[in-house]
Amino acid sequence: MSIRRKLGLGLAILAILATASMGTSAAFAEYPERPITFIVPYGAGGGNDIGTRTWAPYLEQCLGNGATVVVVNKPGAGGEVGFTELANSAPDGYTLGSAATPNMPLGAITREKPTYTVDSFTYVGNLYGSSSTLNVLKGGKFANLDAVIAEGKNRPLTWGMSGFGSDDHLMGLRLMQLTGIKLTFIPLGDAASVRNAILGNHVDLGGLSLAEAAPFQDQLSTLAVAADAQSPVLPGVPTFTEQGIDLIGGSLPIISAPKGLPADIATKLSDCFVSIAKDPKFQADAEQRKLLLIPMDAAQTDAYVRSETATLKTLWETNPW
Amino acid sequence: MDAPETSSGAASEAPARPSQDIISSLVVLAFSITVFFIAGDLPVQSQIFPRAVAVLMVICGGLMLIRALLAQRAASAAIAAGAAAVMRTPMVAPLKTGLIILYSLLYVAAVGQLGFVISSIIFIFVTAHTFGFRKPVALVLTPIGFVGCVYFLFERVLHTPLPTSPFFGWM
Amino acid sequence: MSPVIDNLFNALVAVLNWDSILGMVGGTILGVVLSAVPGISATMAIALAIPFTYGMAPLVALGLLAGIHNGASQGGAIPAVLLNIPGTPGSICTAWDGYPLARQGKAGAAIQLAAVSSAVGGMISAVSLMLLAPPLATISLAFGPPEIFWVIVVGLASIAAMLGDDMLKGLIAAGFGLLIGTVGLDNVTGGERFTFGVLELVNGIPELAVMVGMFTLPPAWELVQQFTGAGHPSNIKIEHTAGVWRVSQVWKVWIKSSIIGIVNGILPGSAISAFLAYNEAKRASKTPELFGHGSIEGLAAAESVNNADNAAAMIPTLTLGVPGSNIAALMLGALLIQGFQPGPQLFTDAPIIVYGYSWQMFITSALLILFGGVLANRLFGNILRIPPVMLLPLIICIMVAGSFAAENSMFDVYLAFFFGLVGFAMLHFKFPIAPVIIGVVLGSKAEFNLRVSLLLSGGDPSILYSGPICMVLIAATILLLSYPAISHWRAKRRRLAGGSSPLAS
Repeated sequence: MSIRRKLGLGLAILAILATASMGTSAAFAEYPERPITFIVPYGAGGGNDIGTRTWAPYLEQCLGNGATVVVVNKPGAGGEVGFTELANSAPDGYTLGSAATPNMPLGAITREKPTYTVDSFTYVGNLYGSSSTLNVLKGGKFANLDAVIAEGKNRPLTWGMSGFGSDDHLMGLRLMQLTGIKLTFIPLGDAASVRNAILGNHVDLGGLSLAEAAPFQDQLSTLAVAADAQSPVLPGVPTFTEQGIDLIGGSLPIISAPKGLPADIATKLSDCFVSIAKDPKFQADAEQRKLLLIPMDAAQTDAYVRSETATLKTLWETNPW
Repeated sequence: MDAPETSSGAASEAPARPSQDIISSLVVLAFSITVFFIAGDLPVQSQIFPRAVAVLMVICGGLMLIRALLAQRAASAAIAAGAAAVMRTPMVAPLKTGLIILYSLLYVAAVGQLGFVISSIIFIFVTAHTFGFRKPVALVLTPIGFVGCVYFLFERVLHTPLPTSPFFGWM
Repeated sequence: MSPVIDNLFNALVAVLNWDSILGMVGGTILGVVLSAVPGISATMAIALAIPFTYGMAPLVALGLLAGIHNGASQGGAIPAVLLNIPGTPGSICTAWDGYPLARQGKAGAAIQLAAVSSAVGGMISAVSLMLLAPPLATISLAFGPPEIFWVIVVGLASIAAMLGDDMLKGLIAAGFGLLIGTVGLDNVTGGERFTFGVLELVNGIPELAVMVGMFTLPPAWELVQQFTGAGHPSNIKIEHTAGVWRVSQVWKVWIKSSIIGIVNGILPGSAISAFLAYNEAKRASKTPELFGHGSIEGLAAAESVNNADNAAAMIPTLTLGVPGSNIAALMLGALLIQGFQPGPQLFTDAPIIVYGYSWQMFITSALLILFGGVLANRLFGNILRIPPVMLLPLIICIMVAGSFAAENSMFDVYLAFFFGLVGFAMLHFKFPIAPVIIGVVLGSKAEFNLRVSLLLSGGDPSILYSGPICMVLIAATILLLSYPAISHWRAKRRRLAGGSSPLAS
């Protein structure tokens, strides 16, 4: 095809899409009138990303009006790049994102010059989350949690974790506080590397989320779950509480908007998420992807974030890392 | 016209003139010494590696400087003794190259302010025109058509947004 | 062994239905075309495609992604050969010999060789995935931080041969790369290094920005030299000339490069296999002086390795959930969203999926022989009819789009152009730029693993040399470092003994 013809084609395409896009912004007075951007502060394919892409179509259906949700990945600095971008966006309801705990509050607490605070967001709701678990190599040095604690009082155990400020790091810190054992924290970058290190017997023990520990039960021995009840994903694994240690922890994606979101939009979104959580089709999708359902409405989410922040603040002040 | 300089990963054919080496080795020294001192503000564990590398670069830069000064002395001696002018490797088309780089940088700056579509159309048009492209129809249609296709590919097919201008919401 | 054969057979049948075939063919073509655009890398192509696969049936989705993966690892060779501009980071080494071949009038043959080399590398790698995945995964578990540190050191040591004739400049370039790698979060202490308060730098300088900037912009800018004012098309033709290369010349290079690619793919995250394979081919070649000037072996090595990386990178990804490369990390996400959890049970619970995917990697590699060569000639031959005067701004325009779209960030674009200037300056002052990217990719990982190893041992350095794997790797490092010196010494001895030098130029 000659250059002229190619150029002519290109011009035609441009003309078509120019008119097309002007057409789509014909106004309905209702929200949403244009695509909603959802910021995932982690990489594509991670737990947060997968969860978001699972519920996104349901949100589109619930909002109606031809709503589209565009999921955008903005990874970096343990999530802080994404959190900051969300905090700085216009609170018009067209930019939402995940202000995940514990990473978001930790970023506000532990940085010398934080780029956002816990008050920079309007908390809309939550659908799912993950609980942390304690894992050792099956058939290795430790048969149960008591053995770990006994040994940990004698010598520092090496604790594999994904990184400083992650939920598995926090679990280790709390464990140290509650039981008096000594731990040396080994940052390994991500959860799969932690799991590898445990399986390869390079570290004594490590923290993993339920979804990360579940497929490897042939080689991994999960000694405790940091939840208030045993999980059907790992039947038979006792909770910390059942073993006398009051430890509950995990991470939640926390669906949020920048602070100052108009009340009517906030209510519309929050109601949608509540109904999505009850939708059996969504629940089936979530189960297929091993997402642990932890539904919360706006008020519950707000309360949760604030109480988590308070706990983390105390932890940081007494035991900074 | 001779084969142009190739940007292969290995160094190009002829070695640099001594004067070039003097300049580059001074730059290297300045850079690595700066790095060494900035690294001093970091906690001990964090600074070991960068400082070690900086030291390596200072040593190499210093050796390079010495070598270049010696080579320059030898070259001037050779010229004084009547030898032909030493290896010249002038950059091919320096003015054009400098201009295209300048245009590229202005373009990138513009994208941030004026959005992708407008900046790109202007950039393509201006660049082609400046460097002698004179077929008027193609000169106008190619930027518009090409940028239109890129816009279509990224925004509509791949659903990844491109930078927008403050004028229109959608481009 | 029998259940494996059963599974392989059943999986092959499952994969040969129309939907899956459509996915594979479409994916391959899409991958080749997308990655042939400088500025769109293979990783980006996959990242952009994955959201579309969420609604598809598993084998169709995987077929499409396998096609894109293999196609995108080859397509970058096309602009590398025709314009000296690598379409993807994996094609950087391809340009070194591909472009000189094009200038010798052998562009069509070069692209065909690139396509066939990619096909061979990809097929060998797919076979390794099919047959060797679980045992290879067990081996990779034995590699803890000390072992991985030494593996990286082996990679760094192999730069020694790549520093070019000027060792000082090569070391400086490598040092520069190592320093770039230190920018960002110190992963061991959690503190920031060299970020100067810029939030986007906290995650480090993206390798892609450095690669695109240093390897793609300078050659693009150099297109200026081809402007002849009136806008005449460039003088590279793309007809296929037979007889430029024979399989007998390159099969050994193919096998060695494939092995390098496979090993590289299995060990977590290193992106410089092309350099390693190129290096090794040069070292083993009887005509090393041709490398960089149109060596058939060099081109074959560069192209086969970057496809050999692909399927092998999925080995630890599928069995352990540890991605062997950036694309493997994305594929992991694609699998998770289809409901498949990585782990040892994946091979027993979903054999049709796993073996089917391996077959798809095999078939899409083979398809490259058809699409990577023929497609290039048809489609991209037309690109060459665009005068360089117009082509250059078009290339820069799409590079900007690609750099932005990768992470929706103008900062990435600014970084890429900054490194473009740096790379251009380096080339002008005759510094090699390959060591920079090797330093960037490997430096921070080496430092990280070294420090984590010391953390594990409580500061006791013996952890670094007490394991058996470590000792083997240390020996390899010493060998690699002394090889240039030994061969130099041997050549000298030969020259002194033989009188006239057998080394023709």
